[in-house]
Amino acid sequence: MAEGKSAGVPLDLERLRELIALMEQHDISEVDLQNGEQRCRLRRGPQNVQVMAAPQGYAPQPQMYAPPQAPAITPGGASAPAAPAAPVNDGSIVIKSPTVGTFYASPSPDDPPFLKIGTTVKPDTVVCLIEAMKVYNQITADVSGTVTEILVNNADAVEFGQPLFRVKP
Amino acid sequence: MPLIPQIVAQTFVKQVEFHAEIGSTNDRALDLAAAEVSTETPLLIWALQQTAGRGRGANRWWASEGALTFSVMLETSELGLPQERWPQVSLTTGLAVCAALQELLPQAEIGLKWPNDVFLHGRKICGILVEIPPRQSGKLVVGIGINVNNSLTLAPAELWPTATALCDASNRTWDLAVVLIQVLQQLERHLIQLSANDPELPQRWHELCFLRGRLIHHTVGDRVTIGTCRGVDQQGALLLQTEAGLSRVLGGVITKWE
Repeated sequence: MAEGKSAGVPLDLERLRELIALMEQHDISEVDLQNGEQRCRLRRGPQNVQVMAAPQGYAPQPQMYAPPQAPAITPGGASAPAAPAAPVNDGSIVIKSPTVGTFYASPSPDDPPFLKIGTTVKPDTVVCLIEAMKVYNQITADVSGTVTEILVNNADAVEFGQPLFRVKP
Repeated sequence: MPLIPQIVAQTFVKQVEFHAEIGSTNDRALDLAAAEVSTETPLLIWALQQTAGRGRGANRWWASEGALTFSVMLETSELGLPQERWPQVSLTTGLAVCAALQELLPQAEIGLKWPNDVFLHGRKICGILVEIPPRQSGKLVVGIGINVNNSLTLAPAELWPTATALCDASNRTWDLAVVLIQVLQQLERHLIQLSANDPELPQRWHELCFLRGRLIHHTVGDRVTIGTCRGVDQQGALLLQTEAGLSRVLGGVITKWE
């Protein structure tokens, strides 16, 4: 992931194309940059390149969600969906979301995450919370193994069946 | 008829636990679920006074004497509700409270503030907190707090512009049991509708949406999105119109509205 400010260059389509090309060239998975009131966050994955633009006329901290090829209705609030898990033929297992909502990696913002890379899980280990309509679902691993990859970011919107973690049995 | 048998006779509740005072009725229900105590469901836990009533996270529920505070433990297999639909119980419970209040005060202007509050004449009268006990017990705990006889004139001054009580809106006191039974009857009716996928429910939560047409701030983690609320969709997601288009919001909180 990279963060930075561009030196006064507007974030137009050409600029975004250049950025995407640079990301591909250098195998960078995420770029988050700000230019005046504009903010741009790019993620590279099999399907997702998301652009977020700051709203015009509002305080700078709120963000709005503007995917380049926005469907009529976009899922789950301001969060850019994480890239779907790429198939890996190493015998690993993917823990998928049993519901839709917002992914929380820890019990509360002040607590450490439920899981880190290398954490050993059992079927009844709580791996995350997924919240929808203020109902917090504790999601359990339902498998045993060691976490090798965390596929979503804290506060991301997740869909039913979306891969959350990769576990090596 | 004594009160507890009356509740069992007139509502879908099969077991009642009554407390003059308790920390939180939701905590009590979660403890019972965690201890895997054999209970008949729906189980009602009713307390005249909560000393540690909770909203979501660190939010405390102000509840002096006279508030109606209770929790209902439900068995989701009895409701036929798959896990991905459990969040809809929040809105469904909100609709049940709206219907109960409308029965009691037919002229009242009642709104459902997504996803779990009920407003009367533009002020909060009821908070709902649906919690899932750990270890996949299949149970749901629905906590409901309604300002009934706890006049807001006795509340901290900062609550006056934002909250109200049934007694303040009607200039009379109410029998808590009457309000409780009314809400439980409506809860049963609405949960049956939820189980049956009755299209009236999404229609009602859209119609009663208190935020519809308002400029709102939606917060998830450290991200804030500002837009105009366009109501609530079939699945219960809030519809948020921004310059980027219409988005569906399922998680997070509404931190400000105008």
